[in-house]
Amino acid sequence: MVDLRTGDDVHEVHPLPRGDGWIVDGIEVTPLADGRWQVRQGEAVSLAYGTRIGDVVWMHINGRVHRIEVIEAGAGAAQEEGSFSAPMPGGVLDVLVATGDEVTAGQALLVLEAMKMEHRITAPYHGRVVAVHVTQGDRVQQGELLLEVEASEA
Amino acid sequence: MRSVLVANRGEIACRVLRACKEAGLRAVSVHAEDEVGAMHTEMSDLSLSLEGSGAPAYLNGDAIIAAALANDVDGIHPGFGFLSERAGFAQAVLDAGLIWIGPSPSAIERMGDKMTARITMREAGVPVIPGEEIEIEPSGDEKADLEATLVAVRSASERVGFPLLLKASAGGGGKGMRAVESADGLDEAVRGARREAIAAFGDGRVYLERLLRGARHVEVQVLADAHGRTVHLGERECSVQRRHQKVFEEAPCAVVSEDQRQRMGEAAIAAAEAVDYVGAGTVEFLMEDDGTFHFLEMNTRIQVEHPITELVTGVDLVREQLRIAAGEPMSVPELAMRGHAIEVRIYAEDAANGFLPSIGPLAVFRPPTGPGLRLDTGVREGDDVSPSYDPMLAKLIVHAPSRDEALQRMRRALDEFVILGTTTNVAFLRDLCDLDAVVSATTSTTTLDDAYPNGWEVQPASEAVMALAAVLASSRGITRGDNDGPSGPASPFLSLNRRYP
Repeated sequence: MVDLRTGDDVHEVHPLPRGDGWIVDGIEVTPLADGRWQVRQGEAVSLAYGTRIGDVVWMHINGRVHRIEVIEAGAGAAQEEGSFSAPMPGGVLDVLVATGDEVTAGQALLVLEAMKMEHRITAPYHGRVVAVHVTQGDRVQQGELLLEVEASEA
Repeated sequence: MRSVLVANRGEIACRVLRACKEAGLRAVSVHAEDEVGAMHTEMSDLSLSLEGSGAPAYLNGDAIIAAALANDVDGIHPGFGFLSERAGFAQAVLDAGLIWIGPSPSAIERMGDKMTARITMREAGVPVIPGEEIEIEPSGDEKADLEATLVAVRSASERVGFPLLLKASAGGGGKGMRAVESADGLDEAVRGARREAIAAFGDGRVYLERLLRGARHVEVQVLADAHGRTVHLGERECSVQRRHQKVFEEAPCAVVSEDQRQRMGEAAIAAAEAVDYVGAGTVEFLMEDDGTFHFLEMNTRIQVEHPITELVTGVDLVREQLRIAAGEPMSVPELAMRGHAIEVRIYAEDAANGFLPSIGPLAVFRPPTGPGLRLDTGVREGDDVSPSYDPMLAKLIVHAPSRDEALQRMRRALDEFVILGTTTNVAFLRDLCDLDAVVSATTSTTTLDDAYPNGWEVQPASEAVMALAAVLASSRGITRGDNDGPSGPASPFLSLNRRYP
């Protein structure tokens, strides 16, 4: 569940995993290999750019830029193991977990500083840290592997 | 001249540095401490550090001249803004034995003081806006000067008529300017304009002009070389303005006839010759519905909107500036205008919120491509938009055989333009292309106020937008369908916890 703000309205939306992507109110959203997104609504398919910076998601779809405020990051739905890579070049401000730690959904794992903003990387699900590939003060390149978390059995 | 230093930053520095390289010159840039590695430094053969951050670094004329002298520079190009219209800086460059790529200090001075410019133009036979200069010699006693000005303005206003514009002689950018509807508001406007002008320019002299409502802003590009040749390169219409700043410009002006172009061009040449102008300059006019035109001011530098003239005339204006500064004759053929060009200015600003400047990372910056486009940018993907500098990021320029085709090309190009991470006016510019006044070529300097009396509004988000936003907003990982690990380029467009199973 995610709360989004447009103007004075707050919208509660529920993305559900489906195939390679997600389905939200009947609209399919699928990530593409080049970093873009495919958005399918019935017969209509659009390619979009999108990124999240802090509490704002930025999108370009059908010739328009949209900027939408996120009120609260939702809890994870993908109950599987996962690796976390740097979304952009930056510095590791703080590593908050160690290999073997049990983590809960929403727990902060690592703080990155990139583009003069702090990015907090949080666990999307309950699990155990199986590897930490960086230490505090490291400079990381875009896409560099930061850490890996294995989801616990439900 | 073998080596040129560009005393500027952003897109105009990039434009000029590229022209220097194309002219076979050594291109030298300067950068403030907070602009190490900025795009314009990448365009140069050598980039020199200036002390300090923000605009003050680029306004330190002494430091720039010292840097030039220490690095085998022959000439200085000021771009626009910053030091470009400071006669004192131009003189200091010349005194240091360097070439000043611009008009003489005396031409800058005579055009920079608006009252002097009006008087010079009237004497040269160039039509000026009906009005009156208020000639009060500053006595050093502001109370006495203000009283004398009030008396003179009251009497002059009866001859000029209302509504009128009260303007500071040293003014610019709307500072020290007041629109006065009737005699009731006159005294207060004089006090306000003087106060503002004294604070901003240290000079409170004012003059009156009749307020021409619904007029078009039409300007003529001129070029003059040191061999006695002065030409005009046709007009540009720049009526669409917000806060006295242009956002949408086109060449030629849709309503200027060949005969009208000839007359305005001759007036512009007369204006330039009256101050022995050498280099590139722009003579601005206000044009009324019946085609009557009046001198507004002359900009003694290269202008933001120069590319539209370049596209329709085929003349590289910056290249000609370099040629003229080197003492060569300009290489400009007989004026032949081809097709129609439109420029929009891409600003980091919130058009839905009073055009307030915005800042942020340019997480995605994907300009359009394809036929008939030109992008003059000073930023790249990954750069930060800082509050320390002018919010103009780039200029998008299109060229097509006709005005309708150029407008449609601009719509297409703006649709393709992707900028994420910083609020820009791209969507606002796209809406401008559909405004009745723009489509029918009936724009005036009040077009934007008339079209958006309550401000411009963002289009509401569609269901598809909300769906994508929901996925981007969730902190969950994104499952890839294969087992090959990271195959595509890692990109910031994906959320933080991209997962490679």
